[in-house]
Amino acid sequence: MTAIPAVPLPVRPRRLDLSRPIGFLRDHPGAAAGAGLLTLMLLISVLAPVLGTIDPRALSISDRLAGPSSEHIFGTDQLGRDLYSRVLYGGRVSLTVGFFAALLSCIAGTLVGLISASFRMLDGLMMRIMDGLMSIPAILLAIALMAVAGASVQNVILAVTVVETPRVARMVRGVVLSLRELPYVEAAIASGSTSIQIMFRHLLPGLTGPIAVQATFCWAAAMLIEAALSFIGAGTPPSIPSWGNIMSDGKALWQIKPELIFLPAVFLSATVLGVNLLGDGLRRALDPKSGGGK
Amino acid sequence: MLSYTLRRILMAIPVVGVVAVVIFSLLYFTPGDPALVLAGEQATPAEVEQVRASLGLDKPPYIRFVGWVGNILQGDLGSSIFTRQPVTYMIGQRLEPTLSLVVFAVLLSIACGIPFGVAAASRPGGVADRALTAVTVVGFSIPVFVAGYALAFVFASKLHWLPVQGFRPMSDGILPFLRSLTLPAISLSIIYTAIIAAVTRTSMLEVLNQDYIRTATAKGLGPTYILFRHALKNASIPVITVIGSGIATLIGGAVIIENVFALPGVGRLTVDAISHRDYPVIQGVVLLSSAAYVMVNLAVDLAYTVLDPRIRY
Amino acid sequence: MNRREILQALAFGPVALSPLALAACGGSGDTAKAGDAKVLRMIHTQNLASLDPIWTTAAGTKDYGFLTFDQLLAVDLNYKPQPQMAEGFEIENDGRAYVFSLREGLKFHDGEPVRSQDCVPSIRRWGARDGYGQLMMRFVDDFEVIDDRKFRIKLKKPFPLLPDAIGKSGASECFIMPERMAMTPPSEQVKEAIGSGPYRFLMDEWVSGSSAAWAKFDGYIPSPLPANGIAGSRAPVMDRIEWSMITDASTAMAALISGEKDYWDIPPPDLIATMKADPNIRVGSRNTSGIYYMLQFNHLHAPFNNPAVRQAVAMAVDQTEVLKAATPDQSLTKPAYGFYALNTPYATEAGSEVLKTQDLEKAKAALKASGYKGEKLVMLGVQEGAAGNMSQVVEDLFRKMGFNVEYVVVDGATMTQRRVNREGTDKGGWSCFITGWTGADILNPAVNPMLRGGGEKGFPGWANDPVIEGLKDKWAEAVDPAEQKRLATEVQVQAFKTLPYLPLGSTDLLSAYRSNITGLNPMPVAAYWSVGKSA
Repeated sequence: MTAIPAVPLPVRPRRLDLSRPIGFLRDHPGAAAGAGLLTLMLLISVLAPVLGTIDPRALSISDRLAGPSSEHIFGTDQLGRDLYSRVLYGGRVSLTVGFFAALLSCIAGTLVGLISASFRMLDGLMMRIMDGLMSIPAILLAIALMAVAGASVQNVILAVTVVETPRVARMVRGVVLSLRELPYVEAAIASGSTSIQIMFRHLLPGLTGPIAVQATFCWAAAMLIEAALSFIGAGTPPSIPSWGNIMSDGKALWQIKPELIFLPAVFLSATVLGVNLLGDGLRRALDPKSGGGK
Repeated sequence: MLSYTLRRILMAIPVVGVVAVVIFSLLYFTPGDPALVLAGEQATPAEVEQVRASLGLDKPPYIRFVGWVGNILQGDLGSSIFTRQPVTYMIGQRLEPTLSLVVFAVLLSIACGIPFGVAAASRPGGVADRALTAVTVVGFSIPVFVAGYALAFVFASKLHWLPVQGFRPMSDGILPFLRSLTLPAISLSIIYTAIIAAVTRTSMLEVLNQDYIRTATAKGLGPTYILFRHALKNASIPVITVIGSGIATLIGGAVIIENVFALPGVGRLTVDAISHRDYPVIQGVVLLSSAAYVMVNLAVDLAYTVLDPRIRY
Repeated sequence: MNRREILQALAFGPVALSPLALAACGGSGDTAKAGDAKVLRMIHTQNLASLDPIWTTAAGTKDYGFLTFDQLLAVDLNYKPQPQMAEGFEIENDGRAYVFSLREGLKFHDGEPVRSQDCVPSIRRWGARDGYGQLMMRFVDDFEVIDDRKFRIKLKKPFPLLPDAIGKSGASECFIMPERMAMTPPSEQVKEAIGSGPYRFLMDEWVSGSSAAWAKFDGYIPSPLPANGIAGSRAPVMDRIEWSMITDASTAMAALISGEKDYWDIPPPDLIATMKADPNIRVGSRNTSGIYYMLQFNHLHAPFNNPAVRQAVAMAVDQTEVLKAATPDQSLTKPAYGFYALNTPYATEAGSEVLKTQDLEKAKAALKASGYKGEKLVMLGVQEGAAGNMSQVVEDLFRKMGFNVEYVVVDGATMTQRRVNREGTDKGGWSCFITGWTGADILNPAVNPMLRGGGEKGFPGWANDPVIEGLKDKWAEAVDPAEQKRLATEVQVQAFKTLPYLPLGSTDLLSAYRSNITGLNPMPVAAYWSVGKSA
């Protein structure tokens, strides 16, 4: 397969220096905006209980589909649940799914990629499996996995991990193969360092940048996949308020109460935008051709 | 050239094989017993057993897999557990809306994405370039169904320019056909356009820095001529590649968007089949969409040799 | 490069936008199609997945059945059976035999005449599958074909309800199919769609989950009687009927409002007000029998294997409160303190005192006294619609009563799978769920599929109350209408003691349609032969 990696690979990757995060963000206003947006959403989700919310699952049948009021600033849904509280709490699911799916797929993908690049015998087989997984449209694969595993937040994380791992693995394998061509790594190999030493001393540091970038893309993709899965009723269990579920509940009523879809969508998109901006900033910082550009 | 083609085809086979194994084993472990649903509410356990046997669900998995693959090779994807219709017939019935939608979205994305990318590359940092960055970042942040609802809300519900739902086959006339697909295709193509534009921009920038372009400029050739005749042609390989690899995203998006616009396509079939645990249908759809993806990318690979005579294999 | 050049380079950009422009100038091209005036374009909420109305009681298949097939007899709006395909019937031998004669010239869609030889196996197959049919078959001795248009049903002992059973409108109806289809084993689905009804099913256009279509059957000979419910003339009005299954309710509403569709069978209650406000849309109740919601208990396992626990729940439930979740318009809801549909011959509130307690404190005390030991209660709930909303309210009530509740949200198909599981809650079993049947489905002790006490043979829930079963047998044999009514009431009084399920009340079944739709005669089912369109 000729799928190009999601991140255009630098010929000679820079090392990402994140020891001075403030400086990095000052140099990359896009990334700074992204980090800001993401932090804001994290704070909103974590602090949801003290931001004037009520129990997001509390029913109040007589208040169903109420418009905005001082009591319910975003109004209520078809069961009289407070939309403001649901949207604020909803961020927890999306961010959790995004973070853990990114973490797990980066770990799994890095392992597969390293093994593939290091052991010629396994390379062909593993890459064919990765290609096979990648040739199933992501959302279809995730739907099929959810059908097997059943609806739960953990299963959404696992399904997204399976979907995203091949992308990370391909990228890591590509970077490792190109790194091995670099003179200092060749020198290390010639001087008889063991594979493990090479891996940890020379390859992993060169990989952190691209993996960090890839992680942000996985994070963003995971949140979008969670929303799409929940939207078609194959994701987070409906009793848990996630942004995807709020939209799914609202789809029957979008003509009369469009905010049931569009409010959670604004929060979701803002969060994904934050992650994407951060990732874009990291990518530019790593790309030698962009001159560390802004 | 012929041997290259053959080699590429041979390389695609294991990929499809992996897909087949993955799909089969996934669905094998799916909880929920289709025999129970099929036998109905008041069925006795013996009747359920009978239904299970008639579907072959009582045989060990490897026998079912071998039988399944054998049938696929003969063009038989089995029959739906729910409607009893052959899966190939069911997919065939629903192919027109989905294919039309995907083709429309691809054409739309190419028609918008390439000029957009060229414009962005022609003056890095200019208005078009900044707009591209904005569209890319924002486009990647909006779920496809939200884009669909937003478009339906504005152009169908409020302005009444376009239908809210449904599909009109081409036999009903080209105008109703295009109108019924416009909103879903636009929703689908936002991300795809952004990808194509971004890759066009990057590869154009690389090509524009090459010596021969400078020579062409020095020779006094017009900038539009240079952009399209020289630069775009040589920048086309990455662009074609991304068109191929992006097809998977597009097919996935189509599954979702068909449900927003009530298009009677394969995506709708998939979602229904999953809620019914209709194994043969799910298997067939996933297998065929993966095969389509593999095929498109095979075509893309082969297109390289035509587009860029420098590539020889 | 300068700005002008960029503009040049973009010269073919607008090509990309042309579909939108093209589309925008196309105006109302979608709605205008030659011959549309004679096409009824319906939004059908229920999917048509099976073409066998004997094999399944799924609502989509039932509506399909009424268009495609015909019945020998059919009940009128007072649930009195009237001749339909039959010219009439004669009772012989003190009620021990019925002789049916068919009207002349009836044809199936493949052009073949309808004969007695088609009717007999059709009745047999239906009698093997339907609850009322099974009851009837316990009385049937044999069938006898007299000639092509006459046949006799011989009974072991009199069964005065036979015409009611054959002409009934609830659960699964006795539709007549060609002999070759009727010979299909009852546990398998028929493979063809040939009936003798007013509309011919277009098999080629059937896309399960998306669409279905019918054409007027030119060879249909309607009953000479005036239309009355499903009885009388079923003369087809339109040339063509099209169903679109649109799962997204808001999209469906938009399609109706914009005129892309003409009729919507079951719009969700929350959208009714918006459609009522539109001058081109009418909202009305066709299915006069309404829909009845019920809380089904699992009688095999704790906590609901204990009648005292079921009684405690009955004391806590306030139908008026629960019904608020079903629809925002309370004028559409009716509490129903009984096991038979309101305004039908057997309707009564006898024995319903426990359901009128409506006192949470008393219910809590009753639950304590019942011996409930905190066993886990697994409630299955569907995500959407009235039943989904009501489930969440009842779940809330369970918590307030002090039950240890686990609420499991499932889709319709999963619900159908899970509810047949007879294991305990620790093995994927369940304790209760909410479901709904139309009034016509709970007309009397025989049609009501959930009013059973047959133990493990019955509907999921497996209530086991021999007293109910004994009373039902006596009712079936009763000849005198007053005696039938008395026994039916006794069944209900007993049912309120052992609570096979808990009635939760009823709501009107509303449809929405364009203002030019005509012929929406009231009837206890959803049948569309009389529906037409004025210019």
